Amino acid sequence: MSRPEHIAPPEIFYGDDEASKYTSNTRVQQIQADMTYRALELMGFGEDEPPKFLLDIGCGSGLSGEILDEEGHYWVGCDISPSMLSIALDRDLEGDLLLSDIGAGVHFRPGSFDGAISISVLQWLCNADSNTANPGSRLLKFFNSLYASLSRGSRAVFQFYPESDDQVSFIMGFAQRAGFSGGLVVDFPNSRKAKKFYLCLFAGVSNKEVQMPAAKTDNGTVVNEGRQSIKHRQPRKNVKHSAKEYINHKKELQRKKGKEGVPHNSKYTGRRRKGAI
Amino acid sequence: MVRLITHNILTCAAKACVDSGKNYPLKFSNVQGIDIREQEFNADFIRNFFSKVDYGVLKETLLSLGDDSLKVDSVEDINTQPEEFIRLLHKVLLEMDITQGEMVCTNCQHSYQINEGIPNMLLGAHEI
Repeated sequence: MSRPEHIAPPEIFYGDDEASKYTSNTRVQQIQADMTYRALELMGFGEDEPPKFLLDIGCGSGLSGEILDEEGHYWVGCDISPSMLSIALDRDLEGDLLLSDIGAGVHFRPGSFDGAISISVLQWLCNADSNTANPGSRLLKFFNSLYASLSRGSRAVFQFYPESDDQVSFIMGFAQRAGFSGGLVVDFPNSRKAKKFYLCLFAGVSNKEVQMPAAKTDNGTVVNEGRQSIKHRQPRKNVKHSAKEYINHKKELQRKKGKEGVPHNSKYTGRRRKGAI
Repeated sequence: MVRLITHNILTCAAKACVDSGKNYPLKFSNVQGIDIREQEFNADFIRNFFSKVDYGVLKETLLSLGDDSLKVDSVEDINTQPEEFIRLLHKVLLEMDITQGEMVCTNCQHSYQINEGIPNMLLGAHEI
């Protein structure tokens, strides 16, 4: 399948035609709605908490904003495609809409938002659409300004379609440089179609205990890609504790590799020397 | 649609303004359309959100739009305020929409046009 971000920059690709096609397609609507619900779930808000003030990054025609309205949240959306925004305007959503380029940063007072969600947007930032645009510096600028706009302890959840593993680490590298912690949640990793990537970022520390949310899979097991903390790393198994065992082990390895002149094992191997003369 | 809640957190995006820290607040000018859209009232949300609101800016902005409904000069503790005041805040923060006009940065004088309800926050490459 061709990737729309390779065809043209977003504000041109989503012109009037494409924007209305995209919005009226019921399959797209369904997928977007599902992903928005899932992103909200990943935000980890409690059941009885009051509504939140959220930023919808790349809100487009407001398919995700509609869900935010339903859930009772207040939100501000921004997008770079005027055609998408004018459709959103006709759809009578509660949130405010801004025409802005997130690659130039999101400009709000520090700590304004309780969270940010973004559905199918981040991959657009990885392309250089003009000869002055540098994807790396745009991503960094975006993440830096987003980090500032979020209140401490809040989360940003990005659903996106990465092209390759390199692109994932490229994006995550900039998020980490901006100060975010967190990682990638991959839903249905074994399915080709249902597989979805959610980048789940935490801004600063919260007084609640933060745990990476679990991914959804077909058979109920949990897969969590992301940075492994040192605590969870398996201890090494092949560590030899006595000097003799260690030396014999090393020699064995050398012999297996076919090295010549590896000393023979004898009763003197690894034996303690007598004290100085 | 620019509600005052959004205006209250919006800053100028030009690099010179961001670096100098003089990127806030933006001033409304040439306002030609204000809509009132009713929104569901949630007192908890307003109380929670109030810590993020710059009350001085909100009051000044309201005055510049010719609305003097906010009488109090400063609010010490939002939780002790009567429900009437919370409802008033709800009304000015969430129900007033600026649909036509412009927002001007007081530092660089850049004017962000609000056209048919959508403010254009795009800047030229030289300003970023």
